Order: sequence, then C-alpha cells, then structure tokens
Amino acid sequence: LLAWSGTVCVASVVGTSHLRNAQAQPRPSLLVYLHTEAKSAVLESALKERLPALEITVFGRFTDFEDALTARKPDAVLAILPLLVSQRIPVALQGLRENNEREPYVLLSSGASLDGSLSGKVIGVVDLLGRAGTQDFVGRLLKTPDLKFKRVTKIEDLLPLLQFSAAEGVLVPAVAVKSLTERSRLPLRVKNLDDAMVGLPAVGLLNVAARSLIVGQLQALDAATKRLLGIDRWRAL
Amino acid sequence: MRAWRQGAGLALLLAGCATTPVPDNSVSATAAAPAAMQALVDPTRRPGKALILIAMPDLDSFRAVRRSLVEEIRKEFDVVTSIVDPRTSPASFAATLASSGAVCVVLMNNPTVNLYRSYQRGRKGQGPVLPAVVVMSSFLEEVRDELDNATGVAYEVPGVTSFVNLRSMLQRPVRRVGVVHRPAFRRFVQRQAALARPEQITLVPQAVPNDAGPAEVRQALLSLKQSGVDALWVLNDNRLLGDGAFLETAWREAIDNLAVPVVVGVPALVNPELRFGTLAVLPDLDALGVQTANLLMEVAEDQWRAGGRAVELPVSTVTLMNMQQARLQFPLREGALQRIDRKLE
Repeated sequence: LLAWSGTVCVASVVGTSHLRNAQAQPRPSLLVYLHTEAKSAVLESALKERLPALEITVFGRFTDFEDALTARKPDAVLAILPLLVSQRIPVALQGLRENNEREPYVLLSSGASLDGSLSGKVIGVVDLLGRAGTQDFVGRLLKTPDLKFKRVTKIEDLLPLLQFSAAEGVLVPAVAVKSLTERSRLPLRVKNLDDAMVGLPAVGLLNVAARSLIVGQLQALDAATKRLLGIDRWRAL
Repeated sequence: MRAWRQGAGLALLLAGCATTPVPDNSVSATAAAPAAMQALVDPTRRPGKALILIAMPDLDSFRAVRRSLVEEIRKEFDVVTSIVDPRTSPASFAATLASSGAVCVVLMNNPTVNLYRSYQRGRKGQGPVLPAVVVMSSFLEEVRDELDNATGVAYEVPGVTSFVNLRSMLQRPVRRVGVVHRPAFRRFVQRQAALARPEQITLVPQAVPNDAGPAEVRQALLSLKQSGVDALWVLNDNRLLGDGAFLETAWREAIDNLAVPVVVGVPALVNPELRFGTLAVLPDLDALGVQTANLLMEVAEDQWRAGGRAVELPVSTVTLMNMQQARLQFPLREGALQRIDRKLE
C-alpha cells in the first residue's frame, strides 16, 4: 500500500508540475514503436491516459515511425534498445524485467524441427528495424547470413505464417511463446538460440531540456502499464 | 495509428454490393467508401530508379493499401499510379502498360486483373509480358493459373485465422465450425478445412443450391445445429446474404436457434443493431500493403520472375467484436479485450 501511495504521489507531482508548464509550452513528444501483445491502439490509449504531460504517438508500422522521427523531431522515443542504437538516440531509461535489460529470443516452428543449420530457411520476423535493418539484425542474431525473411507488422501475424506454411520458423521473444502456444493447437517446437539476446524497451532522449519531465512521467508509470510495455521497472542512465 | 474505415455499411451490404469477396469497383469486404476527393500523388521520379506501375480503382480501401505499399518500396523504386474504372478499355489499359516503362505492375481488384488478362492474351507470341503482383482481388488462387508471370496476395481472410481469433477470445470451446456455402465455393471451403485441421478445428460444410432461397438456408442452418457446431462462419457471398429481407427470413431466426458465435467478414454484419455477427475478421489494409511490398521485393530479387511463386494468404487482420453478444451470450477470456481492434456497443 505504501509503495502504491508513493507511486500515486510521484505521479501527482509530475502531473501538477506539468499542468503549470502546459499552459506555457507544448507537451514534450514521445514517439513509441513497440511490438507488444496488446494492440497499438490499446497501448496508445493506456500511455496517453497515464502520461498526460507527454504528447504520445504509438506507431504500428516502422515506416510511419521512421517518417515521424525525421519530420517531427520528437523529444523522446520509446522503443527496443537496438532500434535506439540504430538511430543513434542516447538512452535515458533502460527497461528491466526481472533485473535483466535484455531478453532471449527463440525460434518457433510447427512440426518440423529447426535443428541444424538455418541456412536458406524462411524465417518470419516482426519488423523491428525496417526491411534492411531487420534482415541485418536477425541475420546477426541467428548467425546466418543467407536467411530468407517474411516480415510482418505485428507479433500476432507470426502465427499465420506457421499456419499457412509460409515460414519454416518464426523469431519471437521467449516471453511470447506462452501466449502463442495458448492460442494455437499447432505442434509448436521451440528452438533456443545461443546468445540471441535483445535489449528490452528503452527511452531515448532527443531533447535534453525535457529530460526531467519525460523521465519522471515514465518512471511513475504503474506496474500494469509497465507490464504492457514488457518491463517491470526502469533504470535511469 | 492505423487508418481503416468501417465505411460502406449495411445499405451497401444489403444492396448486394458489399458481400461478394470480390472487391470490385463498387465495394470491398473491408467496406470501401467513395474515394476522398484528394488526387493521388505519385512520388517524384528519380533518374535511374526502376518504375512500378500500380493499376487500381480510386477508392479508399485501395488507397490505404497503395499508401503503405508505396511507403515500403519508395526507397528502391519509383511509382506511377494508373486509375482503372469502368471506362478503362482493354486497349487503353494495354497501352498504359506498354508506355509506362515499368518493370512490374501491381494490380488491384478483379476488373483490373481481367484487363491484365486481356493484355496478356494480346501479347501472345510477342515476347515477355510485364510481371504482375496482384492484391485485393478475390479468388486469386483460382485465376492465378490463367496468368503468366504473376503472383500476389489473396484477399479472403482464411477461415483458420478467424476461428483461431474467435477461440482465443471466447471462454467457450471452438472445435467445430459450421459453414453454409453454394457449390461455387466448394473448393474454397475445402482449402479452408485443410488449413483449419492442424489447429484442431473441424469445418462442417453444409452445401445449398446456387439459387438457394431462405428455406434452403434455414434448413442448412438447422442441419448444422443437429450435427453440432460450436460456431458459424458466414462467407462473404452476396447471393447467400441477399438483401435485408433475405437476411431476416433466411438467417436471423435460425442463427438465434443455433445459439453459437457467428464469425463474419463484413463490418456491417457485426453491427449490434443487426443482431447477426459476433466477430468480424477483416484484412488489415495497411499490413496488406506491406505484405504486397515484401512480395514485390522478393520478385525483384528473383529477376522479376513472379510466376513460380505461390499466391500468399493475407497474414494480418483487424477484428471487430459485437460487445452486446460478448456480454450476454459469449463471455470473453481475460485479456481478450486487448486483442480486439474495435469494440462495437
């Protein structure tokens, strides 16, 4: 209860201070590009409600995010760490889950095993970093340069790739396996991958002047919203 | 955020325009509204960039697919758009293809595919044809063999996608799904049954004659009730759905008696006021554009050999849930609301 009260307090302080500022200047903008189990609209609605001092836009498609990043020059970006690194955006907050800042990815296949070389295999993957960026990233992650890719826009679209035999395997965070196997009756097999660790969601800061407001708002997020983002706490950097 | 529109609505549906799976110039299953008045603008041509021609009707749903398609391929290709409407003749279409300088054409909707078929017939014995990637055209898998050097993304949402969505949302089991169909849909239904089987869902087909009236549809639904189904899948077949009166006399009471969730492929049918569908599963037009772009890039990497590629099935969908039915008849699982794109009250 005390912890909960504390969270409410912090949120109130941040919110009040914002209300004063909001009358004088526009809210700092936060662009979000994250693949979660929730629909983008659900994520956007939750973030807008809980981060009232920020101008939130959630993108479901990488190209839209990339365009906005160029055209709108946001104050901050919430995305998985590799995306912030690829865009050379300095990280202000790193998301953690069970004290880890990276999570393992695995390959899921239906029926046939993916043991042995992945060379030439068709792998389904969510668009993490755009077409070329995702191919490079996943090729390095799987240590296989000549993969063929089926790129989808949402995690949920990976399952149809297996149902339609359009991909021999799909790359997913290990944490997503449970929901996929609960959803499907396909004989799904999990292939663990050596060193396939990917950075969790992080917040990159493009406008240093807005740091305290942005960091304060995000740190004050409730546990349920953090879970929605796939983390349980932040570490300030 | 994703822009898709429920649009069109019941009036068009019941006028028999919206229910066909063929997104022709009138309406699509995703409910195209009349196109926005803003003219389509192609990106500026750049020297040395290969050109993709997009042949399409000027309707909102097609524009949505074009938008994401163009955004995905614009770094690699220039794009020029040619609007196809009922006035477009085979000769003028062939002339457009010939003079475009494009390396590949993207064809949207069935009339455009028919024009392309005429172009191919006219080119017989005169060298290679322009490769084609087809999207938003119904029963592409059926007509694909009649096209040279063409591939594409099918338009119909596979039944298994809808059934697995429904199963993941409802507390009740979904093991046997009934479907009423005309003979013309038999092969389509068989393919859907094969896709659903590995998901441990049995499709229970009930055929009706081509000219089925309300009595035949009611009898088919009664047969499904007797054989025991956990859900009903309603195909986008305008002849079986007909107008409002047909919907009322053929389907409504029988569906009430069936007392199972109803999966549809048209937004208007899941409108709570209609008391018909439980869940609508529609193609995600933005994602369809991305999938088309990916396929086009693969064809490009394969030196524009499109012919050997299987027609892809659409992988991304949007879901609309009739929340009245969910509350009163078919309770949802915990967390299901997060996976619904639009909740209709």
